[in-house]
Amino acid sequence: MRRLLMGTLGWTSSLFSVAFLTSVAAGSAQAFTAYVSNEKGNSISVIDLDKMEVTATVQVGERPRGITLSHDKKQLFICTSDADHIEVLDLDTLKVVNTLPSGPDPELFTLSPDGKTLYVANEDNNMVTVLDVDQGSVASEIPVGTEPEGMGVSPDGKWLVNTSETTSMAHFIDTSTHEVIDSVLVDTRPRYAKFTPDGKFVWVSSEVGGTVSIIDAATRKIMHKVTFEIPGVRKETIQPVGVAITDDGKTAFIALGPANRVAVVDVASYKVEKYLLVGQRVWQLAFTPDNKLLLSTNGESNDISVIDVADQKVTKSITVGELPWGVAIR
Amino acid sequence: MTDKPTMQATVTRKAAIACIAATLLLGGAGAVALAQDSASSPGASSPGASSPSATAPGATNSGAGEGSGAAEAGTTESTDNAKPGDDWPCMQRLQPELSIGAMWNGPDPAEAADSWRKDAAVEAVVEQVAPRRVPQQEAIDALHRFAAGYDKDRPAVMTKVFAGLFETLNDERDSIIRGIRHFNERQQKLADRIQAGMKTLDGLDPVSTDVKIAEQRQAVQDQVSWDSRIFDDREKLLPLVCDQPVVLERRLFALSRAIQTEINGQK
Repeated sequence: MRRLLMGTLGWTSSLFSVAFLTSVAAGSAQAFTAYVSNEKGNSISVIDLDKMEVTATVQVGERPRGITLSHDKKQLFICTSDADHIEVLDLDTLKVVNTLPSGPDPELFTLSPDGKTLYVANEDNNMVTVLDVDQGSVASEIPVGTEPEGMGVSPDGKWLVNTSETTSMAHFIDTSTHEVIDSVLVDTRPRYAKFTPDGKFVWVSSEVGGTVSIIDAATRKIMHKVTFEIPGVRKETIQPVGVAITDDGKTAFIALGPANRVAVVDVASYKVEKYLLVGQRVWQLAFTPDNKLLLSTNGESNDISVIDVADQKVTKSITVGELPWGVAIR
Repeated sequence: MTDKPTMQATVTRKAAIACIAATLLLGGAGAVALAQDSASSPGASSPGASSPSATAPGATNSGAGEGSGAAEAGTTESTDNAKPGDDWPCMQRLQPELSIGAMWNGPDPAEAADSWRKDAAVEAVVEQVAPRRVPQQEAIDALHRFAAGYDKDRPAVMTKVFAGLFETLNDERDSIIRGIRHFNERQQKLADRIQAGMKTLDGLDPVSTDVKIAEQRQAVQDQVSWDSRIFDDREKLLPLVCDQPVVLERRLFALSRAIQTEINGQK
């Protein structure tokens, strides 16, 4: 009941009380803009990546976590978890223009490559909701393991991988039938699933297990597990969450949670080349479209870190709202 | 029942709660015993008390959600006695001890950990910026001013400052964590007593005409009401108390980042 009530309040406030805390500065056409969801701040920070500063903060529904851009990059879909729906932010006006049904407690989602379908992990009811974006309606629900979270879709759109935190599985779902075809047991508390650009492998991070499992997408067997050791960091502090892989498929970056580090992994050898110190409780990662910069959201230090991908160096930290969680860049 | 004992009870209860708050927010554990003493000696009944809280006994383990595994990871050097299956009452994941590597990217601070106290200037700046009463930005500004006084030896000196801050704030954090555990143990005992009282009430006929049973029932009822109020008041403090280790961790990270800026210019 509380959740329902709060959800209603959040929905109402999002429709009628979208507020700008600072004025919007229009960036140049070439400038990249980052959007960061602030889980506790109930807001989206807009960051001009030329100026390297926050240009606007938009209040949205309660507990925004996963965010992703629409196919045309004109809208931002936002999992407002405690509002129990998805909000659609128009990126020209920075106003919430629509809400989409999502099932309860949407945490993370992924957009199909054709932009027509959102696959939403519903943490509370052990379902993946399949959402028709154009119709704004639920196409189907797929029962999965307990506490679904990580969502990865193959580049050809034929496979969806969902991780269930409590069951410690990566579920392979056929997107044409919406059926779970296979489930792969990984290490404890899998958080994120990411296909390699060639679609051949899926990288699944396990927060408590402290590993990243690399699964062959065709055979659905674990081919390798990346482990992490950082001098001066207690092992249980190393908690892999977000995964980002460069478009050329050569380098992977793994956010290591309260270790406050991002691991740089050579994909060919699976060797960890560096551990970059970013901010506190590093959670999700996103590249700029040209792959030159990588941003990390740092939940405890309320900032994002900017990483130069070629130099593998942290060049800047930018303060955002409270408890930054997700990040998307256009 | 007169107003006087009720007021005394209220004052005692408030003192007990304030005592717990001050103790945990300032990092000590000893004064919690005072709160326990107060709680176990209600002295007077509290007519305004709510009925015994049925949720109280179950509320001692609210922190399983995000962080069930971390409490098992105590190390030999940690003074926190985290045990497998141990109750940790906070929603925040327990990190029994901070990791230097999660804070620091500069020169190896191992040697500085032994030597920072031998440098009077370093010791003074650590004492100046470590306390939480000093606003974080003020502390950062002080570190930058301090660093400006050094040139070639700046990396070595600032590494000592980091070592001193890490030791000081980690010790304080450790003390708070022990205080929270102590707090939780007291809550568990109080919850057990509330449960026992409710069980006793179940065995006493509420419509009995026997005066002794009626008096006994009233006494148990009063005790349960009092204990429940104490329990509930303490629970309200929990979010604030549980946040303190994180507050310290955040402060240490921010100060460490300022020091590293002085060493390697990273913004």
